[in-house]
Amino acid sequence: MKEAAYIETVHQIEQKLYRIAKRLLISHEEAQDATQEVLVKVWQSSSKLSHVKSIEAYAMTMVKNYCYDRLKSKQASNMSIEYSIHDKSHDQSAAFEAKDRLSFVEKIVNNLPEKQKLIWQLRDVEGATFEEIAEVVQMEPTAIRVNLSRARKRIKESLEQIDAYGI
Amino acid sequence: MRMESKEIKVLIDRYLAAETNLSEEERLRAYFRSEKVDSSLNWAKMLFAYSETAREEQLDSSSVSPSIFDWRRVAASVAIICVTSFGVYRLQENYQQKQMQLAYQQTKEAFDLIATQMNKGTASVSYLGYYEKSVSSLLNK
Repeated sequence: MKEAAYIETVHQIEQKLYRIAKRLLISHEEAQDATQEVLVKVWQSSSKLSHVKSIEAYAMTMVKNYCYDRLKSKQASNMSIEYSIHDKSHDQSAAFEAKDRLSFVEKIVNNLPEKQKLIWQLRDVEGATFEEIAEVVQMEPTAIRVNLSRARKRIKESLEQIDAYGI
Repeated sequence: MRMESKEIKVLIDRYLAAETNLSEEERLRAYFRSEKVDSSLNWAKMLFAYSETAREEQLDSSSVSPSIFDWRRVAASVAIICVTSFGVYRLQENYQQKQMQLAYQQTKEAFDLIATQMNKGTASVSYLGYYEKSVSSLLNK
C-alpha cells in the first residue's frame, strides 16, 4: 500500500507541475514537455531527497527555472512578444476573444507579469503557504506579499472594467 | 446576513492586501461558491470560480507518456497504415506482373532454343541422307 500512496503523491506533484508550467508557458504542449523533463530530473536525483515535501518544493523550483529559461530563449528569438505585453488595453481586447467569463479571467491572469503570475498561481490555485512559495521563488515573504497583492488587485481592476462593459 | 457580507468585505480587503491566511481564503472561496453576491463583488465571484476550475486542470493523460488514444495520433496511424498497405499492394501487383512477363520470356526463349536445336538436328539428319547417297553410289560402282 505504501507503493500506491507513493504513486498517488507523484501523480499529484505531476499535475501541480503541469499547471504551473501551463501558467507560465501558456501552451499545453510546452507545459507537457516541461513536466516530463522536470519529473525525469527529479527522479534522477530523488535519492538525495528523502522527504516528500522537499521533493515537491524541489520539483516546483525546477519547473519554474525550466519555464523561465524557455521564456528567456523565446524572448531572445523574439517569439513571444504577445506574452510580454502587460498593458490593460490588452486585457480589454482579450475580453472579446474570450469564450466566456472564466476564460476571460484566465486571459487576465496569463497577462500578469511573470513573477506575479507565478506567485498568484502558487497561492490561489495550488494553495501553497508563504514559506513554500518563498522556497520556490527565492524571495522574501514581504516581497511575495507585495507581488501577490498587486496581482490580485490587478485582476480585480480588469474584471471590474469588464463588468462595467457588461460582457 | 448583512453582518456576514460585512465580514466578507473586510476579508476581501485583506485578501487584496495579501494578508489573509489559507483558511480565511478557503472561507472566501466557500462563500463565493454558494452565495448570490452583491454586484460590487462580481469580480471576486468570477475570480474564485476561475481559481477553482484552475485547480481541477489536469494533464490529460494520467501518465507521463503521451496517450495512445489521442485521436490525432490514431488518425495519423490509420492514414500511414492505409498509405503503406496500398503502396505495398501496388508494388506486389507490379512485381507479379513483372514475374509473369519474365516467365513468359523464359518460356519463349526455351522454345526458341528447342526450335534451333531441332533445326540443327534435322540439318544433320538431312546431311546423313547425302552421306548415305554417296556411300551407296560408291558401293554400286
